Amino acid sequence: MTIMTHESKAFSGVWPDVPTPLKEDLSIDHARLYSHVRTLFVKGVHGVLLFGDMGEGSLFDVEEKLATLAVLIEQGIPADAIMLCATCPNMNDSVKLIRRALSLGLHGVTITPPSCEQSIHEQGVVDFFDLLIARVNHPAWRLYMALNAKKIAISNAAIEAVLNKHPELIVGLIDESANGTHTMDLLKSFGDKVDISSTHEMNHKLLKSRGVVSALANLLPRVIISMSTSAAQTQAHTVPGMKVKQGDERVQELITLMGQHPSTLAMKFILSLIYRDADWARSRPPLGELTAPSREYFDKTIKAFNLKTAEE
Amino acid sequence: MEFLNSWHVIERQNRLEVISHEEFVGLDPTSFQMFQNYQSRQHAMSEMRRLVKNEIKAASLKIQMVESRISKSY
Repeated sequence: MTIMTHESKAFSGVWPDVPTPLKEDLSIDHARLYSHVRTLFVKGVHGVLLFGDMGEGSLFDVEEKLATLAVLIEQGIPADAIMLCATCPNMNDSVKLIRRALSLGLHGVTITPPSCEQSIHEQGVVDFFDLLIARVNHPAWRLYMALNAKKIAISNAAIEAVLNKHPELIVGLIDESANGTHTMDLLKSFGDKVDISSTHEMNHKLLKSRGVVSALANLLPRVIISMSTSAAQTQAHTVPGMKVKQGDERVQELITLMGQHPSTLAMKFILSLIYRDADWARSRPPLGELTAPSREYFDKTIKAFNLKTAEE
Repeated sequence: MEFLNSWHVIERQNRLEVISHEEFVGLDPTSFQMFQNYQSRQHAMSEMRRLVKNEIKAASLKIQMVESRISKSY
């Protein structure tokens, strides 16, 4: 189901929500991040989201994020193929980050108002976006509202009010909930105004959105690209010794396999197995690293999953 | 992004290799495992060296384990 009567300025294609590799001293490992991003582009992704949920955005400060962006762009990653999650614990940091990131020519910015551990009034959300946009004070940029009820519940009325006040700047809603019904509701309510996308891979097919943010695209970029284009929904992926599987079966298998493990730690550990590079598994406290039993579990299950890194 | 002059680290028939992008695009994707893409051959070679060292370390560990098992059995 696609409702799109507006002229879209939003991103298109598959954009992985990229994890942030760390050096031993827990600073950002630019070289590892750069080669991972390059590899994703070789495999056909259209852009990357940095410092999102998978990128542990809340664990890095503004300067670290800006330095990382600058290094990637300087080394040749196209700025307009980078989206930045600018959610910060306070608005000053978000404004500082967005202003300087926009000067680098990024595609756009995703943001969720900071969580206050208290119920937020509808007008509070509207005021947040009004003030943020006024303070960034940039003539033309792309802002995506990232919606995650676990962090902060934003009512449809608040979304409607924000979209009506800033129709030129807010170009998309990115639903971080796994609930397909919620995403479909957003599509019905706001699909005529902005692009709606979901970070939950199994909802991509349902939405048929132009753009997809996907954490699993770090591991199965070609499968996610295939799943997200209607023509390829019948494309099968051959895995030696196993029955021919559809892309969405592979994705569902991976989702089940990752199960209840902390998603970023699991993702980083799997990347450490794929790249045979233990340093990839590192995260900043309080995330730290996967427990020994979890590592043992992933050692076994990823071997059985038989990820074909050149095909998938 | 431009990949024409880039280099790939791959594993084919249990052998690690650095190949050019030109060669890479001609390969059957079912015939190899892909590691990462690098802008320069030097970076790709350095990554391959790291992977080879890893393999050597893993093999040494296995040999040590077998040796200690054998010595215990005598």
